[in-house]
Amino acid sequence: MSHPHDSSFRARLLAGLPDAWEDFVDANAAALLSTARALTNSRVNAEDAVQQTFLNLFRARDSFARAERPRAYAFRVLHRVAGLMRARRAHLEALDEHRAPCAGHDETAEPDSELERALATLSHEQREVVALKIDGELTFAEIAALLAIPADTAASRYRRALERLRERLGGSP
Amino acid sequence: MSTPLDESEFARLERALAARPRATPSRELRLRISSSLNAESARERRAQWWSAAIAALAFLALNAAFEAAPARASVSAGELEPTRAEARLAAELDIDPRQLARRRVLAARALLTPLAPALGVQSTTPWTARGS
Repeated sequence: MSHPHDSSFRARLLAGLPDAWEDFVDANAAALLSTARALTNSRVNAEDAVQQTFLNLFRARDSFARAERPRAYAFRVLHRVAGLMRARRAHLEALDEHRAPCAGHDETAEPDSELERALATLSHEQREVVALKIDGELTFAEIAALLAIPADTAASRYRRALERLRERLGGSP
Repeated sequence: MSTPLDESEFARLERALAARPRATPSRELRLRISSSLNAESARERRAQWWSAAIAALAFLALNAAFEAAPARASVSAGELEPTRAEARLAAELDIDPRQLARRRVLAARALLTPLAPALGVQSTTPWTARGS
């Protein structure tokens, strides 16, 4: 997260100054978007989730700007937003099993690289941990708090994900 | 069952994951974000303006109601018993604490009596505010 310990930047975020929020969006949108793609498995939903995350952060800027780890706070918000989107989508699909997939429901979009294809084969829980660790740069303690699991579980889930990637990649990432 | 990763494989995979191209937010997404933040900011400013305007109107209404109250309106002796806060303030201002208690009772009546019917309270008994 840009300037995580810079008190003047936090003060500008807290005041809702447009240039501070523009800087903040520029510095963090890519990491949030990469993670959102892993969490939603959809490019369009990922963009919606990122937009909603920034909006929620802006509304809760009093807590956000005072958070000990603003980066972890932002990813926690993203995780919640993505979870709500997944739940809403599952609910809609359950209502009408026969309807065509909604716009943005593009799980079939072809990944760009062998590594991305391998990532796509991971379970949701594994992809989630990898995204939060690699793209979000969160610690296992932060991931554990976010997912409400023990830190050891987060670490072992991450290691199993990497083992599976190694298998898929035939030992050469 | 996967074979466990050794540390060098683990580090190599982590480096490969960290080095892979990230999703780049499109210009359209940045505009959408910027637009939603601006709209939210404008909504907050409007809400603050209305909140301040309503507070000012309420103050003016209360003040007008108080000024219009009969100067010698009946206030019982029990109601005129000053609260501790009133006694402290009166001591600081060097005035009779019952003056403050009287203002409190009249202001509360002016404010709350019109609301009594809506709240299901008999309006023939003016409300008082026993401060605490």
